[in-house]
Amino acid sequence: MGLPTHLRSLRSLRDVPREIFFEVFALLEAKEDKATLSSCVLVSRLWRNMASGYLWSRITIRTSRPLEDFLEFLQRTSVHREYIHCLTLRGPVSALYEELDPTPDHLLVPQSVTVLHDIVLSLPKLLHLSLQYIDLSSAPEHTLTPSSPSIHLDVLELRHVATDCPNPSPVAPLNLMLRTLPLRSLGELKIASTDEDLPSREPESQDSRNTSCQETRYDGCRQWRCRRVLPETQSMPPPGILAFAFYLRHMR
Amino acid sequence: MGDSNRLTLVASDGGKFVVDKEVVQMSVLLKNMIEDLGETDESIPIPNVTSPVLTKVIEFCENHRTDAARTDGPNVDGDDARMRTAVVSDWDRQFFDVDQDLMFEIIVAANYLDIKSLVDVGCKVVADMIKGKSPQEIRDLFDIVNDFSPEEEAALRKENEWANDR
Repeated sequence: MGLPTHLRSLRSLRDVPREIFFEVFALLEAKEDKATLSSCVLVSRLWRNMASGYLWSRITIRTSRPLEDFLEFLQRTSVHREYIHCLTLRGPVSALYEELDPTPDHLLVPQSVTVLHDIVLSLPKLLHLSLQYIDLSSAPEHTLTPSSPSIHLDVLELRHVATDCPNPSPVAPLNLMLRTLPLRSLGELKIASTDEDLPSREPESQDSRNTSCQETRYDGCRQWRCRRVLPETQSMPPPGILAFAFYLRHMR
Repeated sequence: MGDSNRLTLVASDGGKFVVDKEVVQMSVLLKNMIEDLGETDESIPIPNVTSPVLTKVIEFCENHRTDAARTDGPNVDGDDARMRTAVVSDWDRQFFDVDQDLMFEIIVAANYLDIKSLVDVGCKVVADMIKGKSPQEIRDLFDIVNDFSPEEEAALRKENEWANDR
């Protein structure tokens, strides 16, 4: 079977241009087929080099394990850090959350804000960070200074992030996040919570060219989108996004 | 010849194929070439593609000629994502039901000729072939030699656990 030798232009699989395999791996990545991609990086050195970027580009870490372990892993293997551009840290009960208990604080796994800070800083290509079902209660005050290293994120998503802020409010995790994450600028902020105390709507920004907020339904939760939170030139963040823009400007 | 709607393609082994211009133009490479040449009766040599492969490529293009209008449309953001999750049609699957050498020859030729829809389908077929397979099964499938030491492989497996932490 097969083509007669004189009609073959490919002597072996190695003659197939790499972009063909990149497209194959991109297809697997689009289907989030991590299992197959994991197999691909184990096939050979060449395949590892070709497939690793697709395996590691979007990572979801379930925080049933302490984040310290993940940080330690990142610091040990410099290669993978370069690949991760979308990171989701997710508590272990998200799927059951809404059905079982509307306020399952006890199910959220306490995580250290300092470790979160270090993880973010150890990922040079990170653009999208999503924190889901995480309790930052044990967070010590972590002070950033204007000279601290900081990064840009396209998207920061906070879903059901809890803190032990003395005045629990839906923006408490946000405030904590602002003081903790080494952010220089942010493209889009998404907050989702089932808490009915959430302010009904962020007030309109005075400068709508720089900032626009909209409320949308998202998985049955309220969600705010705030685009371009950080005005290029100073002054008047929408009060609802509060400390955030203030913080970001402070950091610049 | 003399029919301005048809062109002759010459494969690397000398095989000649008379094809509708509309079909030929699904190849971006050939489309540009035709535009550069203007009206001509000359045949177009395809030095990198053999007759059996070119036969298959033309078969695909003949079958998909009516899609051309759609793929010519503006390339909107997110097109790639939609393309990547679309399923392979029965006809396309049947088309690629050939031995592995020929399959890769077709994909490589499509890549060279810049026929995006054929490259896309071919890559999907390859992705489906390796889907769910173990590293060893993939090596066996494509006749690849494992050049990892057992220690390296074990370390990689351990690292992969983080990527799979779902």
